[in-house]
Amino acid sequence: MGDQARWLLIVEKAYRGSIETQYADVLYCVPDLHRQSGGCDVALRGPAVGYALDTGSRPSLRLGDRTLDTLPHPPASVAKLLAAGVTVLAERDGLAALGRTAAERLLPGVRVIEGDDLAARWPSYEQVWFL
Amino acid sequence: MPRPVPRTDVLLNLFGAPHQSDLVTSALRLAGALLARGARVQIWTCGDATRLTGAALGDTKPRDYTDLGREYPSAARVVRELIEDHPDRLYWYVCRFCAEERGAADQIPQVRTRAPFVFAEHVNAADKSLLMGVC
Repeated sequence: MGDQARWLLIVEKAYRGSIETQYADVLYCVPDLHRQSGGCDVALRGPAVGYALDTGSRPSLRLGDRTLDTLPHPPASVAKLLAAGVTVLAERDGLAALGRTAAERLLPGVRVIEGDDLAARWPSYEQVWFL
Repeated sequence: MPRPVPRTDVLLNLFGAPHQSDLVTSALRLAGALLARGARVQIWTCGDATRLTGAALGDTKPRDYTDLGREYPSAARVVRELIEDHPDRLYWYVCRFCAEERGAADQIPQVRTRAPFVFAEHVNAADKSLLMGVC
């Protein structure tokens, strides 16, 4: 399939409830959508750009006498996308908002785009979805 | 004879909806930290937060189809275990009206549903009341 069949999936809203979400974050279904469509590109904007940063190991949460070690780990989710062949884009403005060193922690394979670029790309996609 | 509301140090009014932000996680972390310091805590949920303890959630989340052997606790189980770990110091109340309106009237037995018009009793039974989120 050519570029016309590709889908653009835009994620702006980040961190939607760690305890409720666990493995089932907003990116969970993307590899399957990628497989079912002509291919997906994921664009991370605003706070969601933080998903594409290396933040170290998966965090755990101590609640009372128990430890919850199944919290979401967005960098792992992004790495799964990249491994599945999904193109992952991160807007430069969102990256800059995360601090001076954020660009150094960007996961290998994630492409930085300018904010104006995204809307200009819309006509080349079959579908544009906000997740 | 209605049971009196136990006296607590803090009342956390969890009104914000799950799956929108890390509010629920923050509320549970806060409750856990208070309990670790020996405080007595009550939590009152309204709106979509009443679904956190819906019996229909079961003990585990749906299976992760990318990792079938791994088990993930449901929010209801996380709450249940926190309550069970702190008998007589953590009380979890669910607004009956909000729960019924959302089809979540069937709750786990560790929580207690209450009519909205007794909410002030809970505020009065706590030294401090903290409102978290909006319905």
